[in-house]
Amino acid sequence: MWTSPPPPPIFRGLATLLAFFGIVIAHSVILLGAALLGVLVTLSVQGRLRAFARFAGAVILPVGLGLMIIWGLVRQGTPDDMAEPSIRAGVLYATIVTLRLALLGAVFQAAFLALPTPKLVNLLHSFRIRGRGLAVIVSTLNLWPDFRRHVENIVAARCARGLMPDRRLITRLRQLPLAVRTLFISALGQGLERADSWEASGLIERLNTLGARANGASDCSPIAGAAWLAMAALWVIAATSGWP
Amino acid sequence: MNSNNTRESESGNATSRKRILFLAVVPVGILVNLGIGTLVHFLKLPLFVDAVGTILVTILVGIPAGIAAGVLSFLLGGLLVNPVMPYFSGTQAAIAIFVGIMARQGFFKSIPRTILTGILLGLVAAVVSAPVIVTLFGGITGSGSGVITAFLLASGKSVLKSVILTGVSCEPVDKTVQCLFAFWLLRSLPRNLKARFAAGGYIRRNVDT
Repeated sequence: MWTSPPPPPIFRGLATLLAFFGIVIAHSVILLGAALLGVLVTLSVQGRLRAFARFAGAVILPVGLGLMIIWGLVRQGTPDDMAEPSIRAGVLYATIVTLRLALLGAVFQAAFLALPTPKLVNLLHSFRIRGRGLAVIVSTLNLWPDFRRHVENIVAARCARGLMPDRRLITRLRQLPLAVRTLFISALGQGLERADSWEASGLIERLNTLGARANGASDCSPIAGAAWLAMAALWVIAATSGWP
Repeated sequence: MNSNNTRESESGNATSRKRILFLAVVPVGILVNLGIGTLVHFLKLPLFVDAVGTILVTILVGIPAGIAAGVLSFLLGGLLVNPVMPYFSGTQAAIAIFVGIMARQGFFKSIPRTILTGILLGLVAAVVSAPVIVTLFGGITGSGSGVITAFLLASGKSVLKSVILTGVSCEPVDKTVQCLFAFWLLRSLPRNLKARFAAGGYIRRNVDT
């Protein structure tokens, strides 16, 4: 896991925004590839490489294949230059878009996924997200693992009761509305109870205090923040200069 | 003096009730948006059901809560499910606004009206998400509709036109299914839950409470 002192939240957010901007304007396969390698090293240090591999397998790979087929074989060119067909130009364009997507995902994961909930509260608070918005985000992040288990349990229970006798598409489709109804009604009832108890216990005010207190905490390093910002700025300069 | 105090306490109660509804329903909308995706994944269904939570929250609590549920579900989805989800947050905001406008006119009152809303919502979603698909994804999102985009590109149409036409041909079906889903779920709510939402949102204009 990450051991060096983290950058202050505002530096983290600004550096991420700069990095996103650089990714969108970068047009060099070598530059994008090198940046992806760098972020993958960061993810591996953070112990998040497996999460990225799952994302790459589920999203990047199918999109990349689709792009290769469309721009490399079907259209044989880039959207901007269709004068004469060129498989090479099409494949290059598909590679750039695929690398951009992979990098956008990897940077998002490296910047935010490694943050524990209290640090995320701190980050959101420093971006002026407070009150109800902050309460909703924190509660969703905490409720998601339980909710996901609940979804799995509903599917497992329906299978155990013999309500899914086969794996045919129509049988599975028929399960969807019934499973969602169970999920929605129980979640709504629990949500109302939870909101009543939050209101009674003054949770929103407590969250705001926690965020404000965390903002004053000294476990963040301004040097790390400056380093993050400097790296992001260098990245944007490299992306705009068209190097290499 | 007394009547002023009573009015202040009534408005305080109304604010508190609204706050409770927002706090109760927005996380549920987010979880439903993300959870249905998980359910679809477990059941291995060829669907892209990603806005039922946004539609339900908009009808139950109103447009601002719907926007919050939609945008936050795609931002948090970036952390929890798929890191490219945040780039489609704008589409969710557009869905909440459109559903709110239609629900205000009672367009979730009957099945034919709900189908019409779904078709129009699909067109809105297709147009709003097209620039993101073109700019970030180069025209392909990895779903089955990529075949249609490929066909349109091969016929010489521009990327933006191809993506919009693909969206216009696929999204209305997906969004109609989602609107019908929301229509049925709202009617399945127990009477006591429906009554709790009668004060906020558009449920009274669309469902008998």
